[in-house]
Amino acid sequence: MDVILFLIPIALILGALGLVAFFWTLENGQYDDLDGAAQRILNDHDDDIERG
Amino acid sequence: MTALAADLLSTDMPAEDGSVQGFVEQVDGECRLNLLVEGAHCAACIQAVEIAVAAEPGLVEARLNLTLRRLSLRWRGDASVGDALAARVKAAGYKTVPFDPAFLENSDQQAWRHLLRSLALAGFSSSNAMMLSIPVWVGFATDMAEGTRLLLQAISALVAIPAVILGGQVFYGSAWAAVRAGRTNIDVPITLGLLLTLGISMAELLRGGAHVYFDSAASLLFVLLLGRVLEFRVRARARHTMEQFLLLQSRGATRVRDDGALAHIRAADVRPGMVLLVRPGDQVPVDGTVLTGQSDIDRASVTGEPVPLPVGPGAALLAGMINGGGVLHLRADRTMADSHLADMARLVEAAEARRGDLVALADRVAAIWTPIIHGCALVTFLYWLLQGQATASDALLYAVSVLIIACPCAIGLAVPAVQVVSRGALLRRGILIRGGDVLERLANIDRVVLDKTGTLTVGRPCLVSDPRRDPAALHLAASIAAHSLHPLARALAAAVNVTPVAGSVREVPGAGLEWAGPDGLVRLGSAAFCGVGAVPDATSIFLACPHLIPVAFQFADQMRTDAPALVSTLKGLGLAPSILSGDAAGPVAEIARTLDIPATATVSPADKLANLEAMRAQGHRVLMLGDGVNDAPALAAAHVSASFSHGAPVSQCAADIVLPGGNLSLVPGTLALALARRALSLMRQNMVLAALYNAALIPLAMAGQVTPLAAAIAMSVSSLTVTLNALRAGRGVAWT
Repeated sequence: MDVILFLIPIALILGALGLVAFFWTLENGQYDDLDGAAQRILNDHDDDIERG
Repeated sequence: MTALAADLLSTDMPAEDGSVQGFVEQVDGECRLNLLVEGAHCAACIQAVEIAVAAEPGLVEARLNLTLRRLSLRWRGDASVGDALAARVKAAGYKTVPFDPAFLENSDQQAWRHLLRSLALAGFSSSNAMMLSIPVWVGFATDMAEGTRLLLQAISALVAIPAVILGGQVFYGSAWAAVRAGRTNIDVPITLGLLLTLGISMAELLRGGAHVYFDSAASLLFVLLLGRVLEFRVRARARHTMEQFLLLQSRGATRVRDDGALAHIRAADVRPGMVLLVRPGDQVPVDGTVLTGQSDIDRASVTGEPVPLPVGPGAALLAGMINGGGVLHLRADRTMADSHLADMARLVEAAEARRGDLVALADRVAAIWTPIIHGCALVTFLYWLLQGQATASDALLYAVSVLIIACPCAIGLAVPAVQVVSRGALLRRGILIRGGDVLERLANIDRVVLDKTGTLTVGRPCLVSDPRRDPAALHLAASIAAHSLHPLARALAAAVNVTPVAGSVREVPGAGLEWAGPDGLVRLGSAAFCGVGAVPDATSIFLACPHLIPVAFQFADQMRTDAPALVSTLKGLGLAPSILSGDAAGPVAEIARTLDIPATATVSPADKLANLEAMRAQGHRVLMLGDGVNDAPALAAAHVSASFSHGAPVSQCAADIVLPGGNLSLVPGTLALALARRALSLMRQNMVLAALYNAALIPLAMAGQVTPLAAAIAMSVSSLTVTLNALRAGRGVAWT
């Protein structure tokens, strides 16, 4: 059973890494305009997308 | 002026800190003020805020719009009463800000990031706490050593406690503000449930008890936050409406100074009397009168009339119209805040505020559910305490387990899950659903009101085919027309496949085109320009060649090919479609006759709105379909409304549904309506399923027979059933 003393911390650290990565994307503003992102598929003009 | 208009003019002049007086507007001896109210979530909040301000003497009207989170206040008396009203809302436990779009976006963005951060934290901790709990449950059957069990439980406490404390702040803050003001809202039972679960588990862990609920607390938080995230996104719609209006209005204007120099200024800075330059293709920035120049004005989106209007000196133009081929000098008659577009903004705002009384299905169920559960928990606690067989801490444990079992997570998921699946199914067809309760509202419509221009028709003039016309004349006319940007010329050029005629073509603004052909001068344009007798019809142009009789070309707005199918489907469903158009009586009557439905013509935007509100007063639930600026207020007032992706931005923002451009076969009346009705029935099924699980397990919990394992199973099985049932929302709908 000693192995869980390694496995549990490793699992938690890996999970925490994912969590930190998510926080980074959040601070990076990647979730600020989800509706806007959904709207863009209705945009018929492809060149608008490039201009952002 | 409304708060919106006031903000537009005062963006550089922030109000004095703490006072809302700078945002108070006075109309006919009445003061008006819009406040953003933070922390309002449910019907109880609306009541609390409205009652709090109603105590102020002189108050005429107070209405809290939950979607916009805005409180509209009207009162008689001094502007300083505004501060007293704001203080009353604050005393009721809510934070207020006088409305300012820039601030709204900022604070929303922070709240959104906070929610997502909490959700991620809760997701991380609930999955890990569950991972640690499963060995413990297995351990009960396989004689796990007590030390190992305590280690696993302690680690899950370490994972869950920070997450629940940090991640649940959304609920705690709102609940605390409510309790301090002596009220209750949905966050109070949630906070109580979360903190009690955490506390009782901590106490159990410290005394070495077998039953801890850290995994339940974390997953409960995760599911509740998920509901909040979905709810938040739904609310973003109202913000977009305002942003779009601001965008429309913030377009610049070109001012012609007295010395003839040009200056680019903000449209908001235009004052009456200024002379503005409007170039071809520009939007008219403010209402004004043409001083010099000839052009054609596209007013389809402002008034609903598809035929461009020739204008010359003296013509009055409205903000939002699009200039055609000529350069115009315009004298501004009104400021932007008083202009036609600002009027539309006010109408949309007012209509949305009035519509806010629709209560969503989930809220109605939750209002019944919460008191029952808390009653059960209290009875459980008192029974075990007074019966004498259990200690106080055991009695508390049993009472808490009732709260955990009856957590509103399945009910909280029942509706959003169906909404998300249905929205996804519609999105794959290019149909965008905005509000969360749009499907619920769409499912029970009983009337359909249609706009004409751009909705039932193409929205721009098309050449009417005439078998008697000489094809050579059409060919020549089209190749001359290819040189011009005039709407009728473009329609003519598009009618046949031609290359522009060689040689010099001169455009006479407001009259027509002149081409020096091999046989002499060829003219294409208005009746007068071509030497034909006066024709009152602006929808004809003529081709005059030397020594030949002028040939007429007629234009009309054409009905969309799928419009008759739409109307007959709607009639078949008993939805009594009718037309409400701003266009002239003639074209409207013609299309109404073709489709055989009642129609009202020459309706102003305000009358469209009044029409919709009259229908609602009669108890009708109306679906409004429209795409123009003039439709926006009516779209906002309808029970549910749809616009098109080719429509004016303000109409798209005021509507609940945005359909892909030019395709009526996907109109809510047929496809989306079927899906909405299915969604509503699934939501009801889900409510019943969630209630059944709870009804089966609550007696067990009251009897003290529920272990953490049973609680976790009940929570996941009921949530899973509800979610799987929701997945059926996207299936079985015929995509015709």
